[in-house]
Amino acid sequence: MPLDRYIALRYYMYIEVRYIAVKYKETEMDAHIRKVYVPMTETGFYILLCLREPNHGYGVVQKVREMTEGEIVLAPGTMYGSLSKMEKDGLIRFVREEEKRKIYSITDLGNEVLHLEMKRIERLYKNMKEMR
Amino acid sequence: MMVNTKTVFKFFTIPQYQQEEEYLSAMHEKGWQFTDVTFPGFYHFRKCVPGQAAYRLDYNQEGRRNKAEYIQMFSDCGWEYLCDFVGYSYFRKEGAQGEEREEIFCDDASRLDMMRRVFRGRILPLIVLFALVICPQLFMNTVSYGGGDIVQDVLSFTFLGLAVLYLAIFTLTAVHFFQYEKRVTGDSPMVRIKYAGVFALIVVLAAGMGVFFWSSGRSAYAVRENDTGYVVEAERLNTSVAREYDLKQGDTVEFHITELERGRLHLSLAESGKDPVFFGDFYDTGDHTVGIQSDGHYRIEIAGKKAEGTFEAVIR
Repeated sequence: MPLDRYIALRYYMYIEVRYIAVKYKETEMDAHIRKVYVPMTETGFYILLCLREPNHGYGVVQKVREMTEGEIVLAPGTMYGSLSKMEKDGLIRFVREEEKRKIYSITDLGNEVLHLEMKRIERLYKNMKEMR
Repeated sequence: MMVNTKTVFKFFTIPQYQQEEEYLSAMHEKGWQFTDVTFPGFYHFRKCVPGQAAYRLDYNQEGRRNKAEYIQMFSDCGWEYLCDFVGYSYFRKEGAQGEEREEIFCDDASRLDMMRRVFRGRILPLIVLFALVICPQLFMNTVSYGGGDIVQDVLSFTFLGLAVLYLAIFTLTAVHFFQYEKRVTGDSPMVRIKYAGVFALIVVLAAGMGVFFWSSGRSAYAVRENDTGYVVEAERLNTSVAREYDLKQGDTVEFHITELERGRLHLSLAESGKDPVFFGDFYDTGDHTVGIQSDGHYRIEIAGKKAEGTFEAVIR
């Protein structure tokens, strides 16, 4: 085999292996995150639900208060901790900063996790109705 | 002149932030508004109208790095930022406290997350310090590798005190964690097993230290008497071994410190009821010979302080 073809083949194989490794690592990590976040806390659920439209933390707090008619008021320590954790885990991403407020938006992985959780709650609700 | 500020020294260990919050609220109710805290625990207050106020502590390193944004989130929710102290951030919300307590955490999961941050930031360094500094120092000073002088006794007690304090902090932290983790996981057996292990480890450590410290003050030795004197073989000599002999002018008494692994040895030779003709403290092996100047009844003494080795008194 000519040397240049040999090098090209080796290089191709290297890329292929790297691709598989990265892909494997990603699915592995995503599986872990799905496991950690489903079922999720009420706070986590409302954050993902609200961040389907870009918003900042306090915006989420206000929206949730409206949605639940003042029943649920998310607290700042919980919000700050949850937002940074979710950003680190890739469920939401930082969009921009406005007047010292970080604006976040949901990611594909976040959407996936949210839908898994919605399905779980739907099943819960359906079964509750049937059993009542 | 009216006094408008005051400073109080108060000590709270790391997991006691809830007691700290209650203390600050109680002070506010008495008309003292908390302003700042400085090392190692001076709480500064300003006079205010007595009233209800909730004080809360958060521990968030990421928040401290992005301070402006972090404080904004709290102030949006009605919490006034006050100060930072050893990693904790202090917040206040004034006004009457209703039926429900005002909280900066609205679920147990995020409260547990905060405790985990405290654990990583504050408790973990203490565990490292405990394992790598406190325990070895306590061991070395207590068995007296250096020779058992007063400095080592002081160090030994100091490190014992520190070890007790550390274990108390670890216990408090574990109790605190156990309560929350039990609630978050719905009292799972895994959590119970985990904390049973943690508490057992703490008890074993504390008991081990107690036994070790207690036994270091006791003696373990054997005395062999022969025609020409006596030999002390000690694992740990913390007492005095004396024998009496009738000696004549021209006799000599030889002390042989054949072995002295650690600790201190005190040797003395005295005629009954008189000042000793020979005495001294020794930290190393060696031979010491004393000539007897007058006939009489003599007392030969070998005393130790945490001394390990073989010591001999020979009359020739």
